[in-house]
Amino acid sequence: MQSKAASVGRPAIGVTYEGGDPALLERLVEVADYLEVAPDSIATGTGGDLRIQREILDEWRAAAEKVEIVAHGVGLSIGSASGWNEAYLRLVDELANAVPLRWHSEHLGYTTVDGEPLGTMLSLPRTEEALDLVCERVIRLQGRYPAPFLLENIARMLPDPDGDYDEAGFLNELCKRTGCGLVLDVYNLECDAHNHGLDIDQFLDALELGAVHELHVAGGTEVGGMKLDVHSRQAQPSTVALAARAAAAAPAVWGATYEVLPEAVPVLGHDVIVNEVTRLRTALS
Amino acid sequence: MSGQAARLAAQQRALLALLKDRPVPVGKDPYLDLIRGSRGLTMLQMITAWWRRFDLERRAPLTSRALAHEGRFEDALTLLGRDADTPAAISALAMHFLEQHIEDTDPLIAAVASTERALTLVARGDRSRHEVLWDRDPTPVLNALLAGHPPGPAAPGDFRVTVSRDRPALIAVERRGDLANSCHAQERHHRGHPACSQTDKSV
Repeated sequence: MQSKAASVGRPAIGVTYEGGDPALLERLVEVADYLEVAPDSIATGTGGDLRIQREILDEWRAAAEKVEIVAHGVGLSIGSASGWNEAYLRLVDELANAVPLRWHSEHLGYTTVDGEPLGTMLSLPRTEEALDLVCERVIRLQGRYPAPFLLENIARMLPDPDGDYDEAGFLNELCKRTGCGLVLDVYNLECDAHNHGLDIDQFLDALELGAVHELHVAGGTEVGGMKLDVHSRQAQPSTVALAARAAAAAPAVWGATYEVLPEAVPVLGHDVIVNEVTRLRTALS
Repeated sequence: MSGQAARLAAQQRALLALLKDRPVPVGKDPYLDLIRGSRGLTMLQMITAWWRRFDLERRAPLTSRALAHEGRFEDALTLLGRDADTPAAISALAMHFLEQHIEDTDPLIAAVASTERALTLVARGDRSRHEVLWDRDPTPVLNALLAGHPPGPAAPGDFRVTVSRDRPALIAVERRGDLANSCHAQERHHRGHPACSQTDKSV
């Protein structure tokens, strides 16, 4: 399928879609080039016996006739020293067998420890041992799936431990060793700047932008003086502007995604979400 | 596990313990002291509690509301947060929560959780026929919970709720041992419950 945006040489524009909302889907396929789906957010079953809901899988399969599908997981836990989540990979297997994936991605962090969920996602220390761990797993993933694999910078909520790399250096080394690409979540950069004083200009200057293949744009909220990565709102103008800046500087951005939580859809409404997709396309054109 | 990876594992275990308010299983570590007093840790604990609440209110609204009306929902959330056996997949948390309550000591909570679990399974494609026994008329209870009201009094008696895909509205209620009523089993479609959203039909 030729994406709507690829025909004019711009990043394709995507949006989160969980499934089960046909009225929203009907509108999204008119304005977006791809849907970002999370296999683990709609899985059914327990423990290692997780499956994607059949109705949702059918819905995604039908949508794939009109738009491309990108998988973006939450629960792989690629950075868990005790082991990643194999049940999540079986969901990706199931999805990849049903729908052609343009690419798939995960967060550079961890959500479980010894199999127990943290209830949130934590970032990794930027150390050699963490890098070795993630690189070995990225290479295994690249051997398992033909679709390109990308990793996303996550917003850090906790202070950094001492590390061997700075923010950009860690990502550069990861991409260099594995050939994997990056999802650059520009809202997460704004969170890190607000919460921990990240210098975004310095970060972007140091990052090898050729590895950035997707941009994430979202709107969150601020609580207790901290900016939270909750994808519950429209993107701020600063976030869209940062995405446009990154898209202009990075030579191989395949797509830019407006991310929204399913829980926020009833609050925002379909019109707002459609407008956000259109707004992102305009900003990156 | 190499020595380096063991260090990473130890740090991750310590952060898990801090997040869940458990004793930290390592010795003195200045970094962990920094985390212990950080605004970020407090915020993360708050956020994880929000996620659990939002997820359960969305995916298990009947049982969440029934517990809330009994003044037990906050405790249930806290217990769930400390539970080491919670599933890793975010979508499985609600089912885990429902399974925790199907044998609740309060028969009303147990019946609501069992019914909601059956509805959720069937709406996700399960072809099984589920039967839940109630000690009171389930219809006013479920309708009140769907509307966000306290369950209120319901006529006592032996009732059977059947949840199955072969029911036009997924769910049917009948009074056990009452032939007349069982011949006219009340089909109820509990519109508003997420389990029914994919098969929305009037009855």
